[in-house]
Amino acid sequence: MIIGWSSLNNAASYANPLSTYFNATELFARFWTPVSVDLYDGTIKLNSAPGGGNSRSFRCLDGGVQTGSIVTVSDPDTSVRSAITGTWPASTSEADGQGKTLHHSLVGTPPFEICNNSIVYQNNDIDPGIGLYSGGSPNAAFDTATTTYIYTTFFKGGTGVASTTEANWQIPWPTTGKFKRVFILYKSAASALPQSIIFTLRIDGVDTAMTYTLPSLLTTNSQCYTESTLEAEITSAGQLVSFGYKKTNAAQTASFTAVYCFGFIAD
Amino acid sequence: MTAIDKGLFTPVGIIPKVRVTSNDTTADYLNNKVVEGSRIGKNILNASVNEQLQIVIAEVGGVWVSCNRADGNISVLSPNLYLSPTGHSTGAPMANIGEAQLLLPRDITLTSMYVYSATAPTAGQTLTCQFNIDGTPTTSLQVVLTTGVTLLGATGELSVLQDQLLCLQFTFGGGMTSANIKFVSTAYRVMIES
Repeated sequence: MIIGWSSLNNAASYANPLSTYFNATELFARFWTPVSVDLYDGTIKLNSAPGGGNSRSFRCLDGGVQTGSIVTVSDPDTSVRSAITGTWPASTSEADGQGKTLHHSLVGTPPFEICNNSIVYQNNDIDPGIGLYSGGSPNAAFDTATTTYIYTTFFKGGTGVASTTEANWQIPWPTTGKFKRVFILYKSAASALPQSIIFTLRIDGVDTAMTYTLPSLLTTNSQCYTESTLEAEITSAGQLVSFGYKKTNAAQTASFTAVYCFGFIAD
Repeated sequence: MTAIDKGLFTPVGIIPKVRVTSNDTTADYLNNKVVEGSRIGKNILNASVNEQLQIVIAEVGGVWVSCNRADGNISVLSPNLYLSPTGHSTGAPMANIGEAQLLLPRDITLTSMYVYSATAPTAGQTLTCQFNIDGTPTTSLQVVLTTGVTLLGATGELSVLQDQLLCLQFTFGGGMTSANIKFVSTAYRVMIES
């Protein structure tokens, strides 16, 4: 499987490559995975060479600590492919050593431009063909949830931008297969009233079995949710996939953040 | 060593089979003694003539989606713009192809593309989305939205090799000047590690 993403790089940054999100703060770009993956080749593609003495690199981090070797493109090259040796283990909690990021770094002052990167990864114990798709961020609050669904996507990270118009967030899924395995990190401010949040993967506008209700957090806290048995099947290419969330108590207005990661196995 | 041992001929009435080791209790045809694994497959070539057993490394399927982080729409404001198929931080197609190209880390086979537009082309207009490989657009797997069509997919097999540069290319026809695209999704197959 191949992760690909791009970023506007004029400074060092951290990325959740599953949602093309990047931030100067490592904690804000972290994502958590429901399965372990080994890391293989990585590539960098620039529009122009970094300039004399300059270079651009990325490396894989786990809990802020390097877990994969560094891929570097140096002047006068505009692209590079090199092996990565490393593993992102499955996440079970929010703790350091569980949240993954990619670190993009600069040597010198290469020109501001878009940097397209990729990594080959693979789960090697269960579900070898699984692909990972993430959205959200541990940083930015989601739009205030209502008791009807608000939609976003697991390909967009960071800002929590979403809307009640599901049609704007439905992805035509290009192949048949099954969604399975999920990791959700949910963080809520102190809540005086019950505020369970329901997250669901929807196909063609209908809730699937992958619907998860995370219970109230009566103090400022976070909780991690992992699940590995429920599945949602794409039976026909082109079916529309969306991701929605809603709360169960309209009177509760405590803000929350979430970052989530789904697995998908193509037929 | 006898002629039989040397494989020079097969005695009439004796069916040649193999054993894994000298301790193997059951001789069988080679095809039955080689088993598929989770990432290893096999094919019989030249069936019923000079058969050969081919061991193959399995492929897995993957999905890429390009979308806009801001509002779900990719604004295509002029023709011949380029976009990474793997997602983009800005969601905005680039006039400069070099800013949209991804260097492929593996050989892949692209198998389908879906384009979902917020608005449909009007009479006579077309919006074409196709793959561009090493700077050359290809028509072998592309989607052409025509009048009244907002969602369309295409299937096929398009091989792209390791170290080739891949991106999406949008082209207008029939006087079309702008479009808002929600998503472009791509399915591919790639060899997995053995």
